Amino acid sequence: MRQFLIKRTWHALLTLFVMSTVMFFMFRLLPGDPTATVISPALYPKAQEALKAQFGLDKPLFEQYLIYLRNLVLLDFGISFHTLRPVAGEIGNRLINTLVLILPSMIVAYAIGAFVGAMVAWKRGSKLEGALVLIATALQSTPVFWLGMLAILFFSIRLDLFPVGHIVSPGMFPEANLQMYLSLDFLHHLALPFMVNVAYQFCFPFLLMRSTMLSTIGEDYIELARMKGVPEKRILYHHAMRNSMLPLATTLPMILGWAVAGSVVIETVFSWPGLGLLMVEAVGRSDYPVVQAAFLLIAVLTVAGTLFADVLYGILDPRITYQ
Amino acid sequence: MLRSLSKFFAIIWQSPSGRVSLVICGICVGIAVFGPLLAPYGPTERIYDDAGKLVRLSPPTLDHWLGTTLLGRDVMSQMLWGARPALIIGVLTALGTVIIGVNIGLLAGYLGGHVDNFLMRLTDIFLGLPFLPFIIVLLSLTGQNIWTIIFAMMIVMWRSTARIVRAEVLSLRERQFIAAAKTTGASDFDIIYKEIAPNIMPFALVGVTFALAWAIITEASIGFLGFGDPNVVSWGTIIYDAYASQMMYRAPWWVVPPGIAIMILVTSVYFIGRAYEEVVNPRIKQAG
Amino acid sequence: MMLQIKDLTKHYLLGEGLSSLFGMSEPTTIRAVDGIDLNLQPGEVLGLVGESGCGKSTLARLLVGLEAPSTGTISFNGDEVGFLKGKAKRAFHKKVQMVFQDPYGSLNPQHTIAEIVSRPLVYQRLGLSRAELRQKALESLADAELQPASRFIDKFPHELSGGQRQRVCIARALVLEPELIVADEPISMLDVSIKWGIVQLLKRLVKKRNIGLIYITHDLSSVPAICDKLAIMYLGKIIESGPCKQVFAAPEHPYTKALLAATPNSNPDVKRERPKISGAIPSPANVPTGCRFHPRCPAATDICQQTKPKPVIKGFHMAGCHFAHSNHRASEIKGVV
Ligand SMILES: Nc1ncnc2c1ncn2[C@@H]1O[C@H](COP(=O)(O)OP(=O)(O)O)[C@@H](O)[C@H]1O
Ligand code: SF4
Ligand SMILES: [Mg+2]
Repeated sequence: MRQFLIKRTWHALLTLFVMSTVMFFMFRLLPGDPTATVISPALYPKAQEALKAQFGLDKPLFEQYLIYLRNLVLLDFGISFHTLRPVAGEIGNRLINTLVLILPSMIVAYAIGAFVGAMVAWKRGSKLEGALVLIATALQSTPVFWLGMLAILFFSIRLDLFPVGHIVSPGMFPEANLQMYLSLDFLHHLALPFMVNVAYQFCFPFLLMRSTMLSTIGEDYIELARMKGVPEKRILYHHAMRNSMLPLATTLPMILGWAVAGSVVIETVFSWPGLGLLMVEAVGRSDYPVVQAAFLLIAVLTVAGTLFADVLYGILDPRITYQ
Repeated sequence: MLRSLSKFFAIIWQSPSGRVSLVICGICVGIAVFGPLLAPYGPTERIYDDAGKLVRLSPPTLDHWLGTTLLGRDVMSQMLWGARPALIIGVLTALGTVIIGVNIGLLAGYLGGHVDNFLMRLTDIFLGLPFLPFIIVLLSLTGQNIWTIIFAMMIVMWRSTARIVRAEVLSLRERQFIAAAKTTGASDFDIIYKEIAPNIMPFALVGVTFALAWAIITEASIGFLGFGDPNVVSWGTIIYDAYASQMMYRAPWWVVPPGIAIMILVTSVYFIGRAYEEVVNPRIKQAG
Repeated sequence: MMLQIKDLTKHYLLGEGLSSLFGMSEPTTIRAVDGIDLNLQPGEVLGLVGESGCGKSTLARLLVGLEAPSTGTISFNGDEVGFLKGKAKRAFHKKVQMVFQDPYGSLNPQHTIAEIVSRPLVYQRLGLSRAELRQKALESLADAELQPASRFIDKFPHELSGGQRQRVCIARALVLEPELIVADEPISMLDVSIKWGIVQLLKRLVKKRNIGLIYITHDLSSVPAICDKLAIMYLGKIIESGPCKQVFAAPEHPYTKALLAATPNSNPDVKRERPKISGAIPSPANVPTGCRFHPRCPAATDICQQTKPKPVIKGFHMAGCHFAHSNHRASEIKGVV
């Protein structure tokens, strides 16, 4: 088990290392000079060089790469081309904003999906089952930004129930702090993107739970419990559902990681100042230190999710062998 | 190949949901092929009324069934034109994805050893890659046109197919017909592509359908984030235009149709994939 | 000599890897094939008989070049099989074919019968056209007496019965016109009613085409009908061999006797000694000292536990027992039973 953990962690670190390397070289080798917007070619050559030196762009590529790696380890992501402030300072808040939106909505989506999936499987073949499968698939097939736009159109514009976007009302909290995340105003802003994300993410756990339950129900020990006269409700909750949780639990961290990566879209519709929106904005401004930092941070979360899922699977599934 | 394909359609046709989905997909393909001929206007044609005024944001009328956009374009025509890029990008991406994934899975699973180790590490790396962020970064650097979009999506999507195929190859390569082929002098290439690959076809076809669903949605998302091909009108870019114009909440007729079209198409693609998978993958068949 | 096997072994090392590196487990050596000598001429049928797990299939895989020997040599028409590479290896595969035990697993489920039978020609890079391939497949199926061949040729394996599939396997083996066929328990998974037909077919093919055949089985009853020579295998070694009739009439090794005794007798006039053996075949990871048969041998003595018996040869008849071809063992055996 220890070996398994070490191996997997090592793989995850390797993955991150490769990704940051690819990122570094992608920005510098692919066509399109990302520094062009900051260091205008119209400037005097002297001024250009001074600016390049300031961002460390005058050194040889390989040396830049080594500095870049060292800085990553020190969590120093450089200076934003746009705000000219350290990237690390800006990015922390954005991360929290993303997690505050994604984590709770994913957990709720999983809880609802698992429960409804189990119920539907228990009464298999009902009209409701077909309808729910159709609805869940349709929701999954809908571009989430469009779902968000419809939600805004209906709940915010027509019914005027929720604000149209952003994380708090303008001017309410000049500084993001705990108080802000606990305020009613924040919750009011959170509600709509939260619900949209739940609706969008509901399909996967729902279908997974349904199919696992269907095969669990066919197992001998469920039959046995029935023959022993265990009440149906108890069989459902204690035997069938509990035993069907495994695939659901083990996939959750990975899906969470992917959901963070996918938050780009939902954050854009709701102008939610998270990592994803930051990245899209930074790409638009060619602010590549910020793009790099946001991308790598999202990558860390995705990789961590995959790693965690693997380990959880290793712990929970007795059949796996640690070689 | 052909054999697997005709079997594929036969299997789907047997399930009611598969049949409906197949018909819907057929209609979408029809629109993609003939839509531009049926469309009353060009996708970016500006429409002026008799007085010579631009017909901006007109709600649905008899002349413009789905209304017009801020720039006076006919939404109905845009819908008819927009199916083609959505489908072309989706289908090419799905095919490319599966071709890469199947080959990597075949090589890793059959050759084993260092090749397998290397390819699986590579797959792990791609599994950890944040999907949309990576595509966006790549597109921002390579420029945005149909081909870079397809390339960017392919590069991140092959990973799951590769994993599934490899697992399957690991069990297939122990089967006796592989030994039988070896004793007749088959090379590794022969065994991988003539003996094992036909047995992978069902997985590849499932992969194609799910990749297609993903690609259509992703293409729309890319368009929505503003990284679509600026010269192409697709269902995704119609939504983006509405969003970017800030008029979307005043003109539902502009935003709703493309979303519904994507939803219906992708849903039916998913159902096709599942109908097929239920039959060819015995594990799922048992469960369902 | 077409086929000449000398002191052939195949040992598998289990539990190498990381765990043994950290001293978590000892690597074990599985002596699947443990020192075998055999010869075969064209037109000859050698029966290779032994209990399940004694290494018959491993030997077969070595013979057809699916695996490389640990030590020892297999020479086929003078070439050493273990060292063949590239074109030479392909040429070898053209001459030596195998019929597998499992007629279900050895046919690719995604291929039609025509494809299955003609694929060897493709793999041999013979450059035949589609029509020629089909023609060859038809001929080969006819040779395997799957009649009418044209009715089966476009079907898939799952549409055929077990016996029909085994004929397809034989047709596939024949299509390259091999000089040697290794048939690994070709009838053990078939219905009783069709076993006989397959054995007869193999016999006819050998005679008609002057092929060498190694016929592997765990069941002696089909052996007299087809074999010229017989080799009895026990725990990776041949413990008795000789002309089929001679071994049947006068078995020398206690193990052979036991096997014969367990086989329904086709000729009730021949009275046999009936020693019984008990227990199961030991693991090839743990081969007994001395004579490898001694834990189960009804005639074992002290010397059997310590000293490996040398092969005792009389004419063409070999037996690996301390007491083979000598007079006092008969009374010994009687004393025990
Ligand atoms: N690839 C392998 N790795 C380890 N052990 C093997 C391998 N192949 C066969 N063996 C072992 O070698 C012995 C002989 O197997 P086999 O040749 O299949 O016997 P038979 O065909 O006579 O039943 C068995 O104990 C089997 O477990
Ligand atoms: S050598 Fe001894 S143990 Fe081995 S077969 Fe002969 S009598 Fe039996
Ligand atoms: Mg065997």
